[in-house]
Amino acid sequence: MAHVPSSRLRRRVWIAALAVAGVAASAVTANAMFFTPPAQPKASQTSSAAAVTSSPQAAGTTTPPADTPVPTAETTKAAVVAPPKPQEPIPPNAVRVAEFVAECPFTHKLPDDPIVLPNLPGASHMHSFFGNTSTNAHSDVTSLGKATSTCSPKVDLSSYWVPTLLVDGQPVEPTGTTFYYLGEGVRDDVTARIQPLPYGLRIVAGNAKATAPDNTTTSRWSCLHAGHVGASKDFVTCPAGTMIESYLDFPQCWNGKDLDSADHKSHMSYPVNGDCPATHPVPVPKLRQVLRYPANGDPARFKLSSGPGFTMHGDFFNVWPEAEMAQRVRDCINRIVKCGPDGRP
Amino acid sequence: MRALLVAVVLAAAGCGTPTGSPPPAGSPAPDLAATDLAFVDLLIPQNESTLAALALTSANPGSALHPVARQVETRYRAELAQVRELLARIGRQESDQHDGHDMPGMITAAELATLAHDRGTAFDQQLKALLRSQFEEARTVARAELSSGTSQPVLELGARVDSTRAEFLALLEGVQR
Repeated sequence: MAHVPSSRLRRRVWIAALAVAGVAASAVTANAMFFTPPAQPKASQTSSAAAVTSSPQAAGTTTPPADTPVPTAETTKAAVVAPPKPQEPIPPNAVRVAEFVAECPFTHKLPDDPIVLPNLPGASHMHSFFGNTSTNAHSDVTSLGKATSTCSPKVDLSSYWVPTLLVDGQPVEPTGTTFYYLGEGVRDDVTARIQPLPYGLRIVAGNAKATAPDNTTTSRWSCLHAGHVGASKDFVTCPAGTMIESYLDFPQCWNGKDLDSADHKSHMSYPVNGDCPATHPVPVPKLRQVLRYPANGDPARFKLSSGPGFTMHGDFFNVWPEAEMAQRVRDCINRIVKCGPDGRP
Repeated sequence: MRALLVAVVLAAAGCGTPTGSPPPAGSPAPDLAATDLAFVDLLIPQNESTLAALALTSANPGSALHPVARQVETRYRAELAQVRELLARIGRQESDQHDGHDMPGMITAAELATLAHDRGTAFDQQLKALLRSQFEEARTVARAELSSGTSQPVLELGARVDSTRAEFLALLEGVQR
């Protein structure tokens, strides 16, 4: 009898150790697992100043639905909220990874999609929303800007949504909901001139209508606390005690003029050879969505409301106040410094 | 109806006079807002996927759903022609963003594959269930268009979708099998 409690204790210690290791490993993964040498501290002030002034004039236009009543005040409203905070020097112990973060817990589910199906409630498959608590089919930048958020930091009023995960037909919401804003994916000199994401920008990443896990699939499934399982475009079998997780990187090159496009994708592009292509010349932070679900085991029990695992996609409606976004891009992204939710190292 | 639609679109797009030049590619007529376009983008795959399911009735000559299927096919094809004409008039490419999408109101490839194997009563029951949810979802989306859309021809289409799906639902419930 005496050996039972001790083996349980050992197992608990083992599980706790695995958990700590898993979180550490996944944080490393989120940071792209590479150390970027410090950037030249030059340019950060000037590039962010340029960014702040360039976005209001850049915004307010939306291509194909040219007559779409995009509120013209979209970008100017947030710009007047607060002047940028003065820049602090880089602390000696700063981690030299270009990153800031928002933790945005689940808020609600609705069969709505204000980007793809604006004002058509009930027209979509079920979506799980994070961050802004008000998002529905009728949301626009004005309504979102007046609402509240579950994000840490609270100032991030952005809305994030994904198809709902169903396990045995029942919705399961992620308990880990981290939205990283990263400077990786482009050369360091490009990172140094990354501009803030314009206020009101809408981005859709992933392929909701994928019919197979092919090279159009940008999302990845893996297991938290079980790195040996490896990443896959479709659901993976995560061992008991671990969590299935979804990684999705959003495109980080903007065409510099449109907050949205007819297909909700063509105003954005992924980088090519470490730089933004001439068609989409403005580098912006790369949004990396990491969702961890309290589910594991046989993936035959899993389905997304949009279909199989490879149909994972994410929608992002940027409602960061401009000054908050600009300060983080200046201090964390351009300087290649890892910041937390408060936007400080 | 179609002549009226064309006339409305022509007038709205300013193309009614011989000297009027067609709108430049990629710039929609001023009367189609994002909601109208989203409604049209959704209607196309909804109708197309339903037509694909209805085509399977040809392999089931004894199906009690033939009369309903023919009526629905006629209506859905007419709507497809109408929205494609509308998109062409405003110089907008037909969006395929929902093609193959697993969305409410669309009959998925997996559902089609299952239906293709069904025969007799099983076929009718399955097709009836698929059509019922399709019609109901089409009404939901049409009503949303009616409350938030702005384009007159699209609003008229939405009203027709709402009323015809109600008629089809009644027809469907009347089918004894």
